[in-house]
Amino acid sequence: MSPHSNPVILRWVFVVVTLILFFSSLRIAAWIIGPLVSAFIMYYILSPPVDFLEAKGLSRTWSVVIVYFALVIISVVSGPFIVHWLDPNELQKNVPQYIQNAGDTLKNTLTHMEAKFDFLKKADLIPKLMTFTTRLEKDLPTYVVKGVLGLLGYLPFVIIVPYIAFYFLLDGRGFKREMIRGVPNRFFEDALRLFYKVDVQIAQFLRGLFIESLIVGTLAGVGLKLLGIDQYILLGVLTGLFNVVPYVGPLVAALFAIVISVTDQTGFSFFTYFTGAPAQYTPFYVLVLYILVRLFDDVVIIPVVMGKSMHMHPLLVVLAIFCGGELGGILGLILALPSLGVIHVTYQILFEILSKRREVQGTLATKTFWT
Amino acid sequence: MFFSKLRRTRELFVVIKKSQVFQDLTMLEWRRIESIMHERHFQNGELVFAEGEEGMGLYLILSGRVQMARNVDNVLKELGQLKRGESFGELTLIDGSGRTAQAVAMENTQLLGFFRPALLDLMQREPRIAAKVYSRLAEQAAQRLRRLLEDKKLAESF
Repeated sequence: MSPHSNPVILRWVFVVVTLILFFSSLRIAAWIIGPLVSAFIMYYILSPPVDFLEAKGLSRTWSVVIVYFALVIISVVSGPFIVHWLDPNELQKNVPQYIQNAGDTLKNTLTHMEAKFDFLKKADLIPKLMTFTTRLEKDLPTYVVKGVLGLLGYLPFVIIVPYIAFYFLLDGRGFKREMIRGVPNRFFEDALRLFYKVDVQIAQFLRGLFIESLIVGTLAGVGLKLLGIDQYILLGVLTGLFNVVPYVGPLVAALFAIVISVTDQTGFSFFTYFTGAPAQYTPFYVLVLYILVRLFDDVVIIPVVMGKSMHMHPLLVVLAIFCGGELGGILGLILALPSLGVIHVTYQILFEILSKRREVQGTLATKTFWT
Repeated sequence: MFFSKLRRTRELFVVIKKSQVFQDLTMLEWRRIESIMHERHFQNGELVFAEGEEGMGLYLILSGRVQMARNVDNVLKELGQLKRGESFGELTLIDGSGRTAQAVAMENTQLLGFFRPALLDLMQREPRIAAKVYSRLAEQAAQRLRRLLEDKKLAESF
């Protein structure tokens, strides 16, 4: 394709407008769009194992049922372990401690800095910080109750999303066929091409994102375990989940881990044991761990797993995060990158097909015209 | 509902058994791949595809008639007319190249489209069926090549 037939700015405008429309509709009808989009993502992540079983000679229905059965078994078996590791009672006791310790550390640092830099005293930071932490500690139970209630609100999701995804997996091909059945004959093959390419790209992107988050979360979890942080599972899961939000997510995850590591140094730290490094600097090691994971992700995982096909301009990614966060809240933030991926690819291929070079059919009958 | 669908599957199976590309499939295999086929309806005189267009795959005629024609020195030359059970567009299915001729429906025509994404999907999912389809496609391509070479030899001998 020649460069002038690739209208980047126009495409960006289309992408951003569509993102705004999508997230606005998410805001109005989150109850229906949320489950549908989640089921859509689940469909793309689960279809490789289902296809694999089908290639082994099983029927589609059995393949889907077996994959779901495996999922149920995994969650039933791992559920008690996770609850045990997370230890809700312990967490309930510890969280106020985390906040207090983080506040104390920050206070100490500030006092230290105020002693050095006079102008900081005028800003009155320490009292402000203290009122903030005490209020946070006092209001924490309310926040927890609100948070748990909010999570309970998502409970129907847990049932309905796999339910919708089940039918997507079962009749996926039929759905796709029905979707383009209505396209008029003259556009049919182009529509089919668009549909197919978008499908392939989205699958690659969503699976890549899933695998990337899984690896990043596991790496962070293992690293934290080695550093002797007790809440390594919770933090690993959070890191994996936040990894989906570009730039901001890893930063927030690292911040969480550092705050917890200020308090939590009770576990056995392989790192300090084997290297003899002083244990009181654990928060610093956590920071280094997150920087290393980030680097590994950027240099190794993303190029290998995602490939170059899904390269999106950083500016576009930031715009998507803004739209998602502003219009869709937490869900919008998490869905920002996946939805940008889908919309971006759709427009990219649509523009590619629309700006396809048109060949001249036959030769011009100039002679008959001029004489 | 279920029975009418099954009846349709049987009806289509009768036609695909007549075609060169799908003749080796069993009813069971046909039922497994039916969902990746596209049924399209064309009216009398409607263009199915034009010469030189980027194509996606082959069409099998379920009912009706299709005229194949080619632009030779700005004159449209008919290559032949195809009827129920015959297919066209195999070359595009194999290599994704542009259409080498134009196809026009000569009456109200029902076509079954089999496109490249479906073939690629089949290779992943049902390699045995894909092998059957591919061997027939290769056979057809070989026959055409042989015919072309013979025509050329014949032309040179004059």
